[in-house]
Amino acid sequence: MTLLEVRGLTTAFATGSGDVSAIEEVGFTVAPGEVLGIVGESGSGKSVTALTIMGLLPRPPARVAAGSVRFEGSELIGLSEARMRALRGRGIAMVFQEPMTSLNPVLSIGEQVMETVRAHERTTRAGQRDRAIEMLGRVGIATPERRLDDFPHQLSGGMRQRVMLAIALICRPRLLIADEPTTALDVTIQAQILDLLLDLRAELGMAVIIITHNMGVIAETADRVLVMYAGRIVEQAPVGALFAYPAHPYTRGLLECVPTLETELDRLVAIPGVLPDPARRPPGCRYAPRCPLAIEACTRAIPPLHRVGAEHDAACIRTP
Amino acid sequence: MTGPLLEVRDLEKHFVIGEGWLQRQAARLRAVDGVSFAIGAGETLGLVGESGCGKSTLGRLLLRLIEPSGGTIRFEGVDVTTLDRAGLRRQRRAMQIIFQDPYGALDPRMSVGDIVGEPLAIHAVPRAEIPRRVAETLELVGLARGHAGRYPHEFSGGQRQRIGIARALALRPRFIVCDEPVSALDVSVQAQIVNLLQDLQAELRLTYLFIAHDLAVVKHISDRVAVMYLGQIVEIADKRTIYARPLHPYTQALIAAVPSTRPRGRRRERLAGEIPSALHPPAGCRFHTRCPYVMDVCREQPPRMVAATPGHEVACHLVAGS
Repeated sequence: MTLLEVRGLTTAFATGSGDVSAIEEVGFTVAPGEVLGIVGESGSGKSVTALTIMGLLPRPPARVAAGSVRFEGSELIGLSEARMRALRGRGIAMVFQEPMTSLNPVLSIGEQVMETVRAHERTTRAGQRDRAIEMLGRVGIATPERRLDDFPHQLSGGMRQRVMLAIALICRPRLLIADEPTTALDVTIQAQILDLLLDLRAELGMAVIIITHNMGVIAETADRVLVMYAGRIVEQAPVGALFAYPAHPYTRGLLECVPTLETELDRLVAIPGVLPDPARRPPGCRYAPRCPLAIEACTRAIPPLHRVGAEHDAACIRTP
Repeated sequence: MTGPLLEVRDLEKHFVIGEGWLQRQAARLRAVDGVSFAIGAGETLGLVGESGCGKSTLGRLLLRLIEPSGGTIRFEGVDVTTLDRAGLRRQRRAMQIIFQDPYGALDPRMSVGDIVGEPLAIHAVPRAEIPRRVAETLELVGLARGHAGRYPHEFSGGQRQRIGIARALALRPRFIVCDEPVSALDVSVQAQIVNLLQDLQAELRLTYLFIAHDLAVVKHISDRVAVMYLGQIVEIADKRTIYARPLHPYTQALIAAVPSTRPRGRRRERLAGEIPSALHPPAGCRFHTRCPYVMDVCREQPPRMVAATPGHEVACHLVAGS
């Protein structure tokens, strides 16, 4: 059974010099309870993919130019804002990188958690309060009954991200989208939040899409991985296969260019060049100008994803 | 080696701040609290720790971009802390800094040539000579001479960091504080800048203090590594030793928290809790509130830095007691 099915999704932004597509022909599925990792750098389109699914991009300038997003069988593209709002929180919830800008600075954290319950369920104020206390406790906030009246600025970055998780999870969504949830946090706090995310996933039986630029975060959390570059999926694979047999030269580059604690190199293997500007993407394969394997044919057409192993696809004509 | 290039003793920076906006009660924030270390010529000392541990403050103190509250900083034997304005300016020819944020650190209204040439003009390099020196420096960091007439917004993040490096190199310093120089960059660009810093070090015989929160990058680039927690260095050793046999429980926890790039790696012991406020640091060992091995003595007495083996120093009662 499929929880989420995305097909041929293309999102464009209107700019002064015409439409620029942020993502193109993005397609993938998420099964119930699964953790899908999406990895990519600036301009890869990983956040736009998430925001398109959530219906959170401002229209205009954004526009879904093609494709479909089905959640539990129902189409989300073109759904009214009222129906979409009912789905957010209960069906799909999202947490962002910077919890300080996602939380309302003038409302207590208790009020913000209770507000979410109120938006989706009929309960008494005392009932909302009990639910908020229970959920804040579950995300690891000590003595939650005493923290309800705290304001976001009184909390550390890690605590704020726990509050965001409480808000996202209080209506027990079937899918959580976490966009760089630990990027702003210190490494010991990152480890705590990732553990918490995986524990809650198991406890609540939800699926998770985790978006990150960090291959280590992917390795520790994901079941399956999509690698995005310049708006397109260039590789998808089960996590073990991706790290053991990366098929796309960009994926190999990403894995090799980052120093790790396990390896020792005199010199890092850098990827030459820069990420392409979305308005001036190169013809053909977008990675070709930086790719050590590029040949003339790579610049002629965008390579489609093709099967390279079990459940393992890559968009590269140089990969057999 | 004939004595260290830089030698820091008991360095302190206490910020005095009002506590609460009505109480007007002064409090002391001990951002850097009794730090001592040395860096040899041509060496890279990595400095790691989490936000608020004081590592960036320490980097700025070394150049006296902020004034220390106590302690000494000897650079090539000269005590930097006692220099007057003119003396300090002369000293800055030899000591420079590269910042994390290549966007915020460059004036958007200045051309690249003016940005890189500014330190030369300040240090009275003859006007006629500046364009040539700017061009040489731009080529040194992998930019083209022709870039001198362009502006920061025309460059990518990685190229802007090259401009920041060129500015730091313009006066041909011997020592550079690199304050999180790659953490704002995309990972595919980080490696280019790390390689550049290593090439420049070899070519110009530079000495680095490399400040970062990324333990893997620090391991890659450093000769020795110091770990900071709440304003103090808790462990320092050559990099092989500190990563293979970390002795301080905080160093052990930091290394364990780095996500493994082997899928479904071990789920290890996690460090509980968060860094306490530097306004009210815990008594005794500052790490005792989060330490899995805490003993009674840790709550009362601050541990002294001791050499576990030659060159491997650690401030922990577990080690001191052995």
